[in-house]
Amino acid sequence: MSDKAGLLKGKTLKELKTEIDELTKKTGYYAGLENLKLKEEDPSKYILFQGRIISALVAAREQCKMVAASALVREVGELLVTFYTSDGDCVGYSTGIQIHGHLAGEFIRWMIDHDYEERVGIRPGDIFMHNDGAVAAMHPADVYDVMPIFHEDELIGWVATTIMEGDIGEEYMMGETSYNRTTDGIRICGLKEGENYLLKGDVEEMYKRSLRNADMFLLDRRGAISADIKFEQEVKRIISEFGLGYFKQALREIIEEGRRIISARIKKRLVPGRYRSLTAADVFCKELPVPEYAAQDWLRLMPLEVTIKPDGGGIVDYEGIGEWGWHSMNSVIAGQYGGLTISMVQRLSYEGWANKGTILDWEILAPEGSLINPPKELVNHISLANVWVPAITSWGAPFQAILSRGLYCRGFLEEVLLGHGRTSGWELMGVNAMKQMYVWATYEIAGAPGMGARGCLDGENACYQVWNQETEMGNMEVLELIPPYMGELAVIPNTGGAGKYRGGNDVCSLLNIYGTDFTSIVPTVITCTWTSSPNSQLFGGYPGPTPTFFVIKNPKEKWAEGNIHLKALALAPWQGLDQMKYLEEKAPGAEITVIKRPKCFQVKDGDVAISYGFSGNGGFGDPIEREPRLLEEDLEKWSITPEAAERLYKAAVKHDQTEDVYQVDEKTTEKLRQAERDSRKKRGVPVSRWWKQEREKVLKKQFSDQVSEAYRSSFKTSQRWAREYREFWNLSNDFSF
Amino acid sequence: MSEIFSKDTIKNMMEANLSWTELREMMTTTPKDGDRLDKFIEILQERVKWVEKILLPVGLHLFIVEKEDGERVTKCECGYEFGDYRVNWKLNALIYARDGEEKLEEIYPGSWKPGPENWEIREFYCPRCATQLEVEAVPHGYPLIFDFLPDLDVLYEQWLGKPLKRPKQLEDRTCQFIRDNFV
Repeated sequence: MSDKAGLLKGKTLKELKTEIDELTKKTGYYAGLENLKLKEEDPSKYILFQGRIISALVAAREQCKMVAASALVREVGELLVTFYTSDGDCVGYSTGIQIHGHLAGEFIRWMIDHDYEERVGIRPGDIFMHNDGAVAAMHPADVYDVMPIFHEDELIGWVATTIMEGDIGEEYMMGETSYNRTTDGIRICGLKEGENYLLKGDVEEMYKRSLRNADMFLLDRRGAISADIKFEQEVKRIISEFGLGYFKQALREIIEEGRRIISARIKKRLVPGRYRSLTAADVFCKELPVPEYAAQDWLRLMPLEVTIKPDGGGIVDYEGIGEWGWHSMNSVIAGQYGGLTISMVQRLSYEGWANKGTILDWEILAPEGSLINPPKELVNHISLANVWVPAITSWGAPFQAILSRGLYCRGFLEEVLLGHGRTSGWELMGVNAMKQMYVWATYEIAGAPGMGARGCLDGENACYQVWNQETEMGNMEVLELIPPYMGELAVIPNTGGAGKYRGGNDVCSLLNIYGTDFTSIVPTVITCTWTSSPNSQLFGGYPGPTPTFFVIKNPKEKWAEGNIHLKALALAPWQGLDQMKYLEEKAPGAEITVIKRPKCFQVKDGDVAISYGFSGNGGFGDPIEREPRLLEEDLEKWSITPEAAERLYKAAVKHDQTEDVYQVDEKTTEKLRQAERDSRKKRGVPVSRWWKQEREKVLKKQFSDQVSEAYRSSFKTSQRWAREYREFWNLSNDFSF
Repeated sequence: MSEIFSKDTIKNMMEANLSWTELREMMTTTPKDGDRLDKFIEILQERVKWVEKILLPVGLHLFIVEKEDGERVTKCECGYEFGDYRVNWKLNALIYARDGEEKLEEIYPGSWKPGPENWEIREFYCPRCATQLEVEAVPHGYPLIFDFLPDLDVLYEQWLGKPLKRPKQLEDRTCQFIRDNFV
């Protein structure tokens, strides 16, 4: 019993946390709530109360956008406001980057476990800063400003505002070049950065002296604190209306109801059983400016097994995932719970009832020593600059396809959505046209990949990503105020995965670099699927293409006089043309590099950088079942090109040059499609025969060094996975890589 | 709240004949219709030319069906049977592995393709109708992915309240099938 801090009446925060956890575990109901008393007594009042909480969170988020300075907040909406019980259980989310809702709760629970109540002190107006992935976070750039909420002298909850910052002291925004803790920038867990609702002077000085975009960072802190205060004020109003006893009980009931909603919805919309998929990360560090021990290329397999249990809960098992390493793409399991949360919020619990209850019946498993479960004794010292990599790689594509598979099987075609495989673009840092140091990433394209196909229609173009359901490219003119480039954007045809219903197309960008003598750029693929195809497709559709980047340095004329056309360069391979030749012709004398891996380049005024950061979103169904009328629409809108219509969809395309109208000849198309079916029968081989041939290759390990090493790594982390691998190929028990 | 959407509406959705307004209504209506699976199966059962009862659609053209003897098999719309539903149906399909630059080029030209040194795209066709039933992207040497092993008895008994007559033990029998048939 604590009477020192006196934050709760009659018990410490730790005691309360333990009590709630034990009640939940013992009864299977959150906090032991078998009955939702308040809901049963007066459902209208209860719903009104819950609505007030969510409205207050959304209002706080909107206020933050008005106060904060960075373009990521104002233009792209990279923020979230969330509310927690006094013991750190999430009650509700605003709109925004909802992956953080669970994670900030884990941080609050960490403070409680580490006796902040007594060792550090928790008072009204305190602000605690956190961005450490070793506890729970997605990358250091996402900063949590967490404030306790008091009623008189009693701690009754916590509010957290999460903002993605443009600069956290890493070389680049997303930490592409980081390789251990020392290169992760500012990485803090539980710093009391503010008191009495104000940022502390010494902390402000630390931020000012550590960051390049310090002004924006500091205004973002003020935006976050203002959101926290706004929410606190709203909570006081809610308590005055409903009473403190009601408030405390209702928070618990809302969480239990969140659990029941998701469980009931899973039972109604999905199918129990075992789902499997695979994703992988190309961890390419050989050409990055890193020490010898980190300068290696790895492939890390990430098998994904999802079991939907009879009770409507689930298990996500990463058995077979490869090892952690000296690079930025490690995670901890808590980060994956963030990914699970955002997937559930977007797909199954999207009406404001998402909270801790949403994932209470779910469990994520991963072998120790793996990419998402590094050794405990090392986790504080390795890089966690890009926890996003294993998260989006898993939750953006294969998990969305798994959910979609279940939804289709129950007949809910309208809910099928195949997600996206990656978020890509450039990271930049240097001195901009205003002679200021800056750090930047091309958010205008990162925020808008194409959407994967759906169960009865195509994905939308340039509008979807898994990490922020309010996707937003922002205003390019405003975004260009900071980094030294003038950007061009274009939606590129053929970039959605092919299928009966195809993925939406991706937006790509060309940067005309200006007003800088010093800018370092590096292409980034947030999922590290540089050369692999994420399994985002379903039922015979294809995954989308892989990304490519170009750097054009020292062209004779600045920006090659604007002669490089984004679509023409992108589509050159479809016309059998060489992209390098195209660029040599359009930018004579330039030093041109095509690259499909991270590598840093120095660029300056007059140079050009191009990103085809294809999102790899998937198609649904056999492409040769796509209706000719849809193909005609595609051709009219230039969503796919005639070459793709013929190659992937086996369509007979006619172009009336006078009217500039495309037609698909149905009779000839049917003949072409029948020919394709005949061809499949000829080129396809029975799996029994294929298995024997492949087994020989496995026995001889006739794979690239990267693939062999990836299998070695997965065998090392997981005996179970190794056993299953051997069983599938009928190998001896001592077979290994 | 159930039976909100008629069989015709669901059929129209399956055939992509709904307007965006109609489809949006289906997306936003909560709770979802409780009898959706019944109607979905009814529509599919009318479409196929064989008589076995569909227990669960598991693809655009793939179904788990109950045979007269109570066995549950994975079956294509064309009538081809892939065997016990607890064995990865891909083992009885035709496979075409795009495992080199040239084969990948047909789908992903030039720089658009996955790295052929590490990756392959596997296409699975029905041996009878040659429909492309599934595609998987994997590194060379990766075991075939068994995408989905549904727990049909839990679905029918516990979730739908209509237990199936002859329950089965839920186990992955893929490796057993390989040992019995491939080795």
